[in-house]
Amino acid sequence: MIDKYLYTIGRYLSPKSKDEILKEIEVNLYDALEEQYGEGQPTEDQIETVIRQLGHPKKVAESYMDSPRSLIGPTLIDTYFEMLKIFLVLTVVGVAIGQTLANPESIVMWFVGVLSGLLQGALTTIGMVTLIFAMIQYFNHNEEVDEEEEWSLEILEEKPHEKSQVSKGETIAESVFLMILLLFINTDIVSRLISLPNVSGIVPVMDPNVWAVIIWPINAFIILSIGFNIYLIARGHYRKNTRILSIALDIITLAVISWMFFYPGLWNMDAAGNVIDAETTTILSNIMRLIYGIIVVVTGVDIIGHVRSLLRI
Amino acid sequence: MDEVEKQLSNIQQEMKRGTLVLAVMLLVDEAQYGYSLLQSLQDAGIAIEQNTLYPLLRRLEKQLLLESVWELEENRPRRYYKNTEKGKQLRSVLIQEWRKLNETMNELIGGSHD
Repeated sequence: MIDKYLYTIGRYLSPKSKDEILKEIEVNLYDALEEQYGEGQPTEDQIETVIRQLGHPKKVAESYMDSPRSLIGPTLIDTYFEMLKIFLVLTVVGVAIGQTLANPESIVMWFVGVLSGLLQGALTTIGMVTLIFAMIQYFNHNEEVDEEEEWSLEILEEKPHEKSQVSKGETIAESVFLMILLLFINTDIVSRLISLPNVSGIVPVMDPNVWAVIIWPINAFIILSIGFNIYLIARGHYRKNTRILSIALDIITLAVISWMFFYPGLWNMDAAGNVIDAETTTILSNIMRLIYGIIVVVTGVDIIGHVRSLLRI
Repeated sequence: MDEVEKQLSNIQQEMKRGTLVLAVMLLVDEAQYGYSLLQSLQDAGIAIEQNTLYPLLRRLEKQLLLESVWELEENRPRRYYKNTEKGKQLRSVLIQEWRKLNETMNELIGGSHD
């Protein structure tokens, strides 16, 4: 029974000090047995009495821990669960939309696609949200405060300006868009949209070789942007460094979109022109210009907003 | 246990917790092992749980206020704790603090709060 008791306590102890603590507890248990019941082989009842005097294994282990250690502390845990719920719901919605857009052959295939997408998507979401909060926890709470330490008033943080508050709705909406985009560019729907049927088969509008190379950095960038949004919502307001990072992300977005729009090697319009008439090609080009224009304007407005706020600081 | 008893128990525990370090340090000029120290404390009227005392001994050792040595007695290892010089110096200060606190509390309590 003592072995089981020690083993159970050991499960809650850190590996670093486990052996030494367990040895001490074992010695103390045998001391207690000897003092209370004399020398000789103790009975199971006697062992149980002594074990109960010491206490519940978890409580005993906790009493040996200097301070509770946690990946995400009490100040962040509520926000963490709130974000986890929001982004898991978004993942479910995103996966369902992505699968519907992918136009599966049957409802069963749709269901299978949703299930596999959910498994992957939910794990990624949980991992990403947890990682971000663990990082916030680590960098914000890692410094232990010595009670007697002289502390400077400079550590007091400026109360964020009202306009510095992160709009939860906007940031979540942007994240929804990014998650759908992520699913969109990673499912078959892309090959359907960027391919056009002609007599002899499929003529891709984008060069698949180039697309296969650029999709990875684009994916990484989108995931980084979603992660940054989670961070922003968790913090609740912008600071100087988050504004600068937002501007940097906006500039990268503009650069990537512009490169995609203007880089001739990515597009395969000549081949597409063979199967669609000139009028449709013009309409398609105008739609693409419009989309590009909207992205440039929206991103530009965002950059100007951040720059103005930075100048105000 | 009703609400008042619970509150009283918590406050009593808080009060006792502050005195435990000094009590332990008063009893380990001669080396003592965990269980014998527990009994010494109980004999002196200080009820302390085992899972409070043993981790406390480890913490005091980490702070270099106590030192410990494992000894083999009748084929059984036992960890003996005793004060270090640093521990003794700190204890002297704590004793003075205790006396001051005692005086202050006695003055505050006076004779009218029983």
